[in-house]
Amino acid sequence: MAGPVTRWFFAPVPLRRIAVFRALVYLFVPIDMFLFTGSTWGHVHSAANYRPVLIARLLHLPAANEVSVPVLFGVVLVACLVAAAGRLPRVAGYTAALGFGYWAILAMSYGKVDHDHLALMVALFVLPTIGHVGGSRTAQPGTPDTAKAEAAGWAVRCVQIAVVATYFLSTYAKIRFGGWEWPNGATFHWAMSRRGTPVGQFLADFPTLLHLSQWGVLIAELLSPVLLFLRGRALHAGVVFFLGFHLMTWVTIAIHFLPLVVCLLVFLPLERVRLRAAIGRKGAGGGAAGQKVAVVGDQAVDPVS
Amino acid sequence: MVSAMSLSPYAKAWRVTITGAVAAGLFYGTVWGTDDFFPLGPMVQYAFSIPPDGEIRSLHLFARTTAGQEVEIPLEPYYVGVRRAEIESHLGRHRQDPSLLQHLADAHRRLRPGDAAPATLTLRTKVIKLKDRVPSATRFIEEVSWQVR
Repeated sequence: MAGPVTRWFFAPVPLRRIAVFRALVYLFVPIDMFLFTGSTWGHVHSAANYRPVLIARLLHLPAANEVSVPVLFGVVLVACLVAAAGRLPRVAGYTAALGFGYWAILAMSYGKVDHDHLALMVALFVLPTIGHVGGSRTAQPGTPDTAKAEAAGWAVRCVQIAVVATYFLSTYAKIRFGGWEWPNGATFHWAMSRRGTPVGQFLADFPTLLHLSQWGVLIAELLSPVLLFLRGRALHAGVVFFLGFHLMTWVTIAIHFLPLVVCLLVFLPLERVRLRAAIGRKGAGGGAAGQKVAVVGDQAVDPVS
Repeated sequence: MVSAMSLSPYAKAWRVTITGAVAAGLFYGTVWGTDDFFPLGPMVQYAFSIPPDGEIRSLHLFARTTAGQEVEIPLEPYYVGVRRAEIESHLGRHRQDPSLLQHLADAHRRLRPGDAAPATLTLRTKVIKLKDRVPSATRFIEEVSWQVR
C-alpha cells in the first residue's frame, strides 16, 4: 500500500488548518439545521408524507415528531459547540455526525432529496478521527505531531474527494437521467422560471446565455477532479472559480450549495487565518498570516523553528 | 496519545479501506442507485433535460378564503410544512385522496396563525410552453381541490 497513492492520501496537513476548518464546520451545522435542512422542522407537521429513504428503513428510524426534532437539534447544537471549541473532539464529533446524519435523513425522507450535503457529512465523520489538535504548531518531521498531521491529511483528502465527487458525479447523473441532449436542453430556463430571483428572471430573457451556461457548467464539473492535483495559485484559482459558480446559482435561483461551499474552503490554506480563540493558543504568533506553512500536495511539512 | 512518528500501517489501512468502501458505495449509487440511496445516491439535482420546445411545470397552492378571496400560499416548509418538490412527488396520492390536502391546511394554520384561514385549497400545475427556449404560453391545470374542515 506504499507508494505515491499512500503519500497522496496521507499528505500531512498543518493542524491549524483542521482547527480552523473544524470551527467553521461545527458552527455551520446548527445554521444548516435552520436554513438548509430546515424542512425537518416543518416535517413534524407532515407525518403522512414520511417516505423513509433506504438507510432510515434499515435502521428503523422513526419519523420527525414534536419531541424528537427539538431534542435532536439540542443534542447536535451542544455537540457542535463543544467540538467547535476543540473540546472532546471524538465524543462531541461523532455525536454531531450521527445526530446531524439522522437530521439530514429526516430532511430527505419526505419526497425530495437534495445533493449538497455529501461533503459536509463526510467532514463530520472524518474530523473526529483526528482527535485533539489543541495548540499544536505545524507538525515537524520526526515529532509525534507528524502522525496527527497525516491523520489530518487523510481527513482533508476525504472532504476534498467528497467535494469533487459532488461536482464530477453530477455530470454522470446529468447524462444518465437527462441524456446526451442535457447541455442543449432548457433545464436552466426551467430553473429560472420555477425559482428565479429577479436576476434569474432577467437572465431568462437571454436563452442563448443560458444555453452556453449549461455547457459551461457541464465542462467545469467534468474537469473538477483537477482540484485534487493542483497546487498553489492554480488551486486557489480553481477554488475561486467554483465559489463564483455557487455565487451565480445563488444570485439567479437562490440555490447556493453552502454546505458544499464550506467544505470547498478546505482546499485553501486556512491555517493562515488568525483564529487564536478557537484553537486556544496563547503567546507565540506562529502560523499567522504570511508565515511559511505546509499545504496539501507538498512533499513534506516544512520544519518551523 | 499518539506516540508513533507517523500513522501506523494499521491506522492507514483502516482509513484507506473506509475510503474505498464509501467510494464504491457512491459509485454504485451514481451508476445504478436512486434517491433512495441517500446520502450515496446519484447527484440528480438538475440532471433532467427539458427540450428547447418543451414545457416547464410547477405546482402551486391556492386558497379561497372565507371572505371569497383567492390567494396563493407558497409551498414552502414555513408555510405548509413541506417543500414544493415534495408535494410534486406525492401529487398522484393527493389526486387519489384529496383529503391529504387537509394536512396542508392544518400545517398552515399551525405555522401561520395570523394568515387568513382558507375555506378551500386547490393545487394547480402551472405549465409554461417553450418555443425555442422562450416562453410562448402559460396555462394552469387544476389538479385537486379540498374543502377545508
